[in-house]
Amino acid sequence: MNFLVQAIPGLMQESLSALSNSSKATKANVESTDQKLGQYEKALGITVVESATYGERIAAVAVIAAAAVTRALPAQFSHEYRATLSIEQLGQYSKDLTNALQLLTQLSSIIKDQQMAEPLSRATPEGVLVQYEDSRPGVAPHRAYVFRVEPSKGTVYEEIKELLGKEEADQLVQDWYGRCDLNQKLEVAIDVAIFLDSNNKHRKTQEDDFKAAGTSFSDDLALTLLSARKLRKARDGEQLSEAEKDLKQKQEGVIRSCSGALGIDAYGRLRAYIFFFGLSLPAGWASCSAPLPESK
Amino acid sequence: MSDEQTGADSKERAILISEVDRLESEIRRRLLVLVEHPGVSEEFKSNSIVKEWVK
Repeated sequence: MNFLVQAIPGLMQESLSALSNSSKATKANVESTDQKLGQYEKALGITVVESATYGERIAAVAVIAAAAVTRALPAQFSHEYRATLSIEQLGQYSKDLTNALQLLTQLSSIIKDQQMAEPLSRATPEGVLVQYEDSRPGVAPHRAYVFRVEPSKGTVYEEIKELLGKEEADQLVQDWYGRCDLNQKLEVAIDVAIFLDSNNKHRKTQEDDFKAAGTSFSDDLALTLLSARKLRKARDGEQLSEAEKDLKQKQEGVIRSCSGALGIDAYGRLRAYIFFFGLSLPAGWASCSAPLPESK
Repeated sequence: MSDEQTGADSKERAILISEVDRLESEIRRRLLVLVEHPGVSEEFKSNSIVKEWVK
């Protein structure tokens, strides 16, 4: 994982005082998770690289939060030790604990903002059919398969070459012609939700998608990798789950022809969206603009 | 130190220790929630200090 923390000497002391100084801003009705994370990172002295995902940023914040808690530890569990502290030291310890608690409260708040979407919590490598509820009220749930996709072995190209052979892997590269970089690696497990009924993607740019999903690993690429793995499994004669069978049926053509991947007519209603840590879907992303016929 | 001062110190100490107890308890409760959360990193969960707090 691209770990993003630059440890700095005296981090805990500095971060705790910085956090105290930033408490007013933190309380200033800041709603967006991005802003909260940004504030928190600033307070904790965390440097974040541009490509950082929400998941990585939360992880980094969590690690540093643990370090901040650490500072208060020596007196923990020991009433005898505590009895040796002066009133001034006890007062400092109390302040440390208050700061650590504030830190944890904010961390909990950040995580709460990123509530695990229930359907995604059911994601498995074999896939499961769920009703994914849009976060907007009054919108009908969308049928989706949710799959857990494990990290790639090397780059996606390398793994697909291993799974399907060089010829098919090279064909994929050619057919994607730059729209999908198969030389990326998937470094952590992700959840992929494949919407079966949705055909209206509410987004401004692909970058918005990445930001919302907390990753720069594209949905097309995730789906390609997932499909290649399922095809390999099918070709090996292994038993497929219902979700895998359906995915394979829908995706075999995509993998083989790659004629526009998700854009080709037969698969036009298939959309993929990927998630780190079960981050919930942005409101409206999977909404349908019009009633769609039942799809298998 | 006079008896009066000693008494005041003891009272202040008792208040501080009570506050420390409360804070430690609350921190432990929050850490327990965090380590159970699927969105929290393994690095955090496996942090020895965190483990010490929640054991």
